[in-house]
Amino acid sequence: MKISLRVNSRSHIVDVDPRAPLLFVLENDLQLNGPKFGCGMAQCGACTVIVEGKAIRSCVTPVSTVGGKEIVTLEGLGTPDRPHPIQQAFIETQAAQCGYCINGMIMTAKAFLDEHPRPTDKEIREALAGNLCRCGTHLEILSAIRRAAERGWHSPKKARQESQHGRQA
Amino acid sequence: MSAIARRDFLSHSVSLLVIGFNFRPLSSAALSAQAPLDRVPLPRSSVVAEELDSWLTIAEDGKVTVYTGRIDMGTGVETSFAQLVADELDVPFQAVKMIMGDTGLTPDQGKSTGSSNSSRGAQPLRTAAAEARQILLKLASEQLKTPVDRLAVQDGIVSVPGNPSNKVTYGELIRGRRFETRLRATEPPDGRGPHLEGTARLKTSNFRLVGKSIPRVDVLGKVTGTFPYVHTVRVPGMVHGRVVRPPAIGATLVRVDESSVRNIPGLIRIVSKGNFLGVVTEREEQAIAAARQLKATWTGGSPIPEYTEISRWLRNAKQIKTEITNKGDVDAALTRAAKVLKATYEWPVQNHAMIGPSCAVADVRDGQVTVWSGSQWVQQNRRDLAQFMGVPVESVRLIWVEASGSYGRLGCDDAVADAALLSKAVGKPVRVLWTRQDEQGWEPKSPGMVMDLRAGLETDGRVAAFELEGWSPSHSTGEIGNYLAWRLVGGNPGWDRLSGGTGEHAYEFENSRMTGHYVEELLRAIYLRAPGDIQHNFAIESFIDEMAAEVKTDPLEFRFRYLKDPNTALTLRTAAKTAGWQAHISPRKLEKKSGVAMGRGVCCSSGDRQSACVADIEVNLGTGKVRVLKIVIALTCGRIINPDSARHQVQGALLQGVSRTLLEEVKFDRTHVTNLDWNSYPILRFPDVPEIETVLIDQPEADSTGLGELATIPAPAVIANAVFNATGVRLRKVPFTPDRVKAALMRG
Repeated sequence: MKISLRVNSRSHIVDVDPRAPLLFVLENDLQLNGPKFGCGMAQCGACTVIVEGKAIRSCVTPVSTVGGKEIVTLEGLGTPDRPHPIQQAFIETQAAQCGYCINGMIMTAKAFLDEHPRPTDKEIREALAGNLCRCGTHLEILSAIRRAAERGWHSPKKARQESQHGRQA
Repeated sequence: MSAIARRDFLSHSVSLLVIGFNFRPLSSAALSAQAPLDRVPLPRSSVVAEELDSWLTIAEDGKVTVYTGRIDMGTGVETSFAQLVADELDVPFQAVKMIMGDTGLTPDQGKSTGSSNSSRGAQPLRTAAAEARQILLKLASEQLKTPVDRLAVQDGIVSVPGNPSNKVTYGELIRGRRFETRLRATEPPDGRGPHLEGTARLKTSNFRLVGKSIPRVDVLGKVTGTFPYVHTVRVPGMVHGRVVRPPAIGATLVRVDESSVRNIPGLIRIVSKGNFLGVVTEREEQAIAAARQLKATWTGGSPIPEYTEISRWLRNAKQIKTEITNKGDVDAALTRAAKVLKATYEWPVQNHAMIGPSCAVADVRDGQVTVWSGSQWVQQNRRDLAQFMGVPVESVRLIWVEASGSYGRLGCDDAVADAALLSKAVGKPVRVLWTRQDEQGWEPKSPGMVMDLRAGLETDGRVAAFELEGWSPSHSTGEIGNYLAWRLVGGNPGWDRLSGGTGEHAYEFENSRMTGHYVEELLRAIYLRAPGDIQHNFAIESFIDEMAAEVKTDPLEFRFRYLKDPNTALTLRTAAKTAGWQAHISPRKLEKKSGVAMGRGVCCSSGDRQSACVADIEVNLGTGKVRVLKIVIALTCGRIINPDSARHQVQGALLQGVSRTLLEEVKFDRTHVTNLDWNSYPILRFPDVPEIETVLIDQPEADSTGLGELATIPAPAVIANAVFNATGVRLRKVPFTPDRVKAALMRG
């Protein structure tokens, strides 16, 4: 079945079984390396991508359910030459060991901070409770997310708040 | 897209197929983040340890390529190796590129295990670099007509101080030629690769890069989704495979009903050989569906005990070897002693629990076997694969690509054998990615252990005798001849190396005996971080604490009475001071608020390197949940190569130890492993991660050491001792689940 996808601001048409997990379509049809297979059961978060602003687990998301929606993967967030502020924070705090979980950490955190730009440490930990790391990089990851939150970026929520108050973005 | 330059073995100029990777040195064969791989560098004609050229080459533009048989499991080794080489050579850090693990390109350096990358792994690289520098200086001396001892080197440029125009670069001196120099290589029989000796001396001071927190070269790629993992390898014409697992360990495959998957689109082939059953399809989701849907009939199996019976099983299992370290006469001392303390400690079977499952791509065609794998022992996996596939070793090439952290599991990269079998059957490259259930159910595991401890105390509280007797399968049988596919097909040779079953303690007792009984395998096993050490330290450091409480002495002071090693004492003093330890007699049973008790524990570990921890925890007396609030850890590390990287390693290893202590236990009924996902085999999650304060004790005069294991060792005992401090209850069986803690609290 032909399904049209919007991924990282580009349009694609893929011819796949509508039940195929989005993760495999992103990896195998679109050659994207951000989202990773960890469990196939939405228990570890390694496969996280952002769909219309929300972090979702692409390993259990049938591709047909996200047709036409804006999908952002890790490589769509920023590049080595122009990393997103949250990626930059991870680089500065060196928040990666094997790095396999990092896609999930960054995408989950990005979607979370867009909605909660000034979280407490406890709130960050709760937001990431569904993301597993076996190397034990948790403290560096928390440090990166705190740093990213302090610096901030132009997020949809911030834009909504500022337009409500009639201020310039 | 740059084309590969054909390997010219006279000039040694190498170009690898590189797409979008100009920001970091590539660590393996040509890989693309954006497009399929279509070429690999030709193998080098000679990669013997004795040849300097096997280890490094210098191009005309000054770029240094280093070839190492060691691999990086995400611990920063690629970066620290580059720091060490750049310092020996006096070249900029950015000039050094590491090629790691490819059996066609790199010398055999044995296994990347035992935290030995920083020591045994780096030694030949440093030696080769120092020798190369010496040769280049000699060439420079001739060219600049100045004696060597009047030359200066910086950033790969040799110059004459006071005469700035009289200089020449390394690249100009060597012009891409071979060094044609032989070094002396000796091979200790431990599987850890050669020790290299040249005529040049290695640096012991004046390091520019070593000792500095150089940002790791892999983090940028990992954070932007452009880093090549073995999971992202794509080969033209690649198809997908999955393996169908038997319902019981050791079951026999009787019949396969191929018609049961007739309707799966993209099905290429069902492959069965012995008890191995796999499927190959065009697309990945089709392989998963086919493996799930395929009907097969199995019979029988090899019975195993239920996991609740493991300690009893271990004591009665067939014994292979007993090792005893004896001092004095423990039995006589125990008979005479005023009081004898006894305790039994138990450690469960545990998973390596990699986040990214075992994954390999194999291309078996025309008698050649090419495999992309995250293996920790590339040359042994190559030899194993050759034997398994019935081809000469020369026909097999294993191209290492970084996997997710494996902590020992990828000493036996099962996906390699699965993929090779399936590729041979279909004549195309096949990618196999283990499922989560495959990993939890079938990965080679860290064995369980039971230990009986006894101590004899005199009336004045002095320890007259100490004894530990333990039972455990070997931790290293999985590393050779034990691919799961090989066992299923039949005829796997196996491997009988014994390790992890014996331990040491750090204390000076008049009479002391340590006994380790190696027993037969329970489940297929391979070492998990700090094999044998973490289990023994749990028992010993808990028991030391029990003795201290018995003689009503502060746990720290009690340890100092008997500690012989000054470095261990140093780490203990450092940790205690940093944590603000106040002498007390355990338990204190401080209740922070109603129903929550707080406690503090201490422990230390000894050996080649030493560590000490102080942990603050709280116990919910109603639910039994143990929360670790903060751990202070002090360690001796030899010469620290990269302080930030070292600190992160320590924290990671410690958190893994906390996870294993509080949460982890493989469960099995009489036929197979039963906890097959992250809910039933949980690991530590963010809300429960403690604060950690790390004190690295730099020892610049000592050799560098790896830290991936050292910091994991003290986790269980420090938590157990803190729980005792809080509640007066001794936890002697890992994991300290809320149910176990509650039961122990009720027993009193």
